Amino acid sequence: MFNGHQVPEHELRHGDVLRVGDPYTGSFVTITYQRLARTMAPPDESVPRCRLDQPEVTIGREGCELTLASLLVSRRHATVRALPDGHEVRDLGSANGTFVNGERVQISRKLGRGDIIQVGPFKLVYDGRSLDSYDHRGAIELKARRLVRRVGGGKVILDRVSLAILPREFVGVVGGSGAGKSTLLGALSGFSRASEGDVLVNGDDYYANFDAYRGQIGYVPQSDILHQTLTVDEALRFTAQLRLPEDTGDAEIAARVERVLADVDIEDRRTTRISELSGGQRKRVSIAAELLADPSLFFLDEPTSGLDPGLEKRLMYTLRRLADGGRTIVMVTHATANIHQCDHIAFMADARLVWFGPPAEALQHFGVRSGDFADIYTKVEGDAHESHPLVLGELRTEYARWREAHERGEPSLAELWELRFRRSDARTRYIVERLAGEARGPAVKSNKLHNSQSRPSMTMTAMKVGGTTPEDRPDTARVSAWQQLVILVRRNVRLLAVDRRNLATLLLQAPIIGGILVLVARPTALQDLQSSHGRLVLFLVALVAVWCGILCSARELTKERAIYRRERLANLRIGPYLLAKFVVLAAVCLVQSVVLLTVLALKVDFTAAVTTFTADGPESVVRGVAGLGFFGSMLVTTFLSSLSGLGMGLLLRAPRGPRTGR
Amino acid sequence: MSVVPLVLVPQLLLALALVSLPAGLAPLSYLTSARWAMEAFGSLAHLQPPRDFAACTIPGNPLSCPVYPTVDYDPSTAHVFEVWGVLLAYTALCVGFAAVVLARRDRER
Repeated sequence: MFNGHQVPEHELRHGDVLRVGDPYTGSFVTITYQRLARTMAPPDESVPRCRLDQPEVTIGREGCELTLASLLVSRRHATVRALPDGHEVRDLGSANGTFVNGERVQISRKLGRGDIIQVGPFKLVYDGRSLDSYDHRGAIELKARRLVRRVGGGKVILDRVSLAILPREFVGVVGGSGAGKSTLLGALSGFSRASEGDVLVNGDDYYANFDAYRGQIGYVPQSDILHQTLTVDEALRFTAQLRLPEDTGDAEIAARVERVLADVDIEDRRTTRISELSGGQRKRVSIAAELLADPSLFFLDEPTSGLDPGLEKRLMYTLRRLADGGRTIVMVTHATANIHQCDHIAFMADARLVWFGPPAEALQHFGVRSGDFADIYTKVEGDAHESHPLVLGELRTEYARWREAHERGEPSLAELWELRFRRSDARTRYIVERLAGEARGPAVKSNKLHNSQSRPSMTMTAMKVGGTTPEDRPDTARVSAWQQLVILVRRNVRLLAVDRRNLATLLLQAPIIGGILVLVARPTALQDLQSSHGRLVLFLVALVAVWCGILCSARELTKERAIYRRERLANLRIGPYLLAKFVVLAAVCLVQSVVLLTVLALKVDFTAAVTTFTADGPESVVRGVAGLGFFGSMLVTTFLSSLSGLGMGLLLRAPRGPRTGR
Repeated sequence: MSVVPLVLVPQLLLALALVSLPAGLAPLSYLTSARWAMEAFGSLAHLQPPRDFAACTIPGNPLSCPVYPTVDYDPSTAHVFEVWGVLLAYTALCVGFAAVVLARRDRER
């Protein structure tokens, strides 16, 4: 592997790093090739060029004029068509979208010279006659400039953090509890954004171009993001179907699942239920799920929490290898025993960045001689005052400097350490110089428009410029929503089928409650119309139906909240998600209704013909809506009542309120 | 689980099947789906509508007691279909609101 790509052989250049590791123990050595006479030519950075001399050039994963081999690219993704006065790009209903200058192409869009088309991890620069393609696979760099995040009440939970992470670096975010680690990860990943400051990915404004990068991000939250009752193989297949382009074949998906399981070293657990795996293996499966789309940028929130030291070491080794294989990885962690596997650590204390750089140098910076990272935690925690041993010792100059600027109050130790870091060589080397470095490849012009605002106007321009009639408009949204619905329905059916206990509870409710109703109901309940008993029995049936509906759905949304949230961040649509739940649960409700009424009919007489007493005297009528019969009509009513309960249950359980714990 | 009883108890008490409500409060029952379920059942089975026996004008004559406000067990097929329609709309509204709630939460990023 070199620069994240597999190579048969490679000529070493100054600064190249060799890594030899043992996956079994998770131990490895790193060798850096140093050759002081830097006479070698810089690596060849030629850019493949695709000439647009045909009337139509198709871009896609396979068998196209311009082939871009990535799973984020659909088989036939987009075409570039010649117009009398230039070219236009047209999306062919791709799963992950085609973007021009960071805006998603809805139908088609005219290209201007210098426009950048983004297709999955590729950037294509249009110069009027040809497309230069820049491959960003395994080459994502992430820069953050003065990130600030404020929460309610003006409290700052992320205070002016700048850092630069280069391609294929493995960065650990460490610090005490509540120091802002997860906040920093949220801001860098874009999943809970900073209120001020910029995040740049390969030179692009990340927040503004989030939709274009969405597919290239892997994010493993603390909670499990796969259904525990499914087997590893099933869960990964469903995730692959949801995340990869629709045209990905079953064989391709199977191969991909195999590959990611190999990447995280759990091939032998394919057919095991996730709930039966150990904590470390479960985490690996979550990571595997995120690897399916082959992301180049990977975020993990405390992947090693709850693992024993051996497992932790091996997981860190796996992550190290994934980074070397072409991914930029940022990880929040509590555990520091294996932190030396990271290229850099970002040490957070009291919402501030007090160190960014190689872990070994961190010990030196904080004056820790024991070699134990835990000592840094102690040194940065708490408030400073004049007689504090650190203020009297190593932080004396910083304290004096702080005193000069502030009349009153006392700084926290974190503030002083931040001052010290800001004046250190390490900061110049690892942040300032790297932030100033040019990103490889072209950058999308920042138009500073936020997606929500730019979307309507973009549709309008697309309609105007494209000049297409509604008929030949690719129905991207509907098709893929339908596809999602089908996949989700299948997954829900599977989930229902494997969770035997839950299914049994749901299906036994009806006969049991029906049995109790039978005990109280009189056989003539529906024949003796003068008595109020019939009304009582039917009202109980109605209540039971509504109740069953609510119970059926009440657990559904809560039990997979973490999964929903993660999938929503990828590409899950709300409509198909809710509808898939509804369809499958409605089937359960139907079974329940049939059973309930059938049990009731064992005792209660459902004969349709009855004599009613009207003003004109007794009259014989046959009850029931034509075609359905009396029992059928009663059944429809029961089912509809049960559906209304189902709706209420889904509404009650829809997660609400501000997000907590972040 | 804690909110489920808050939904179920109104279904039981406000459905205008067991106890009556003052005429002014009767529209509250529209919010419970059990009321619509009961109305469909009552119409289909040609039941006598529930009457408030505490407010009869002629003591001892049940027909002189007022029917619960807004309750209508009209046995015509059209009425049954109407009430079924209400039940379906009720369901659709709930699912629709659930979608809105989910979408709004997403925007709090």
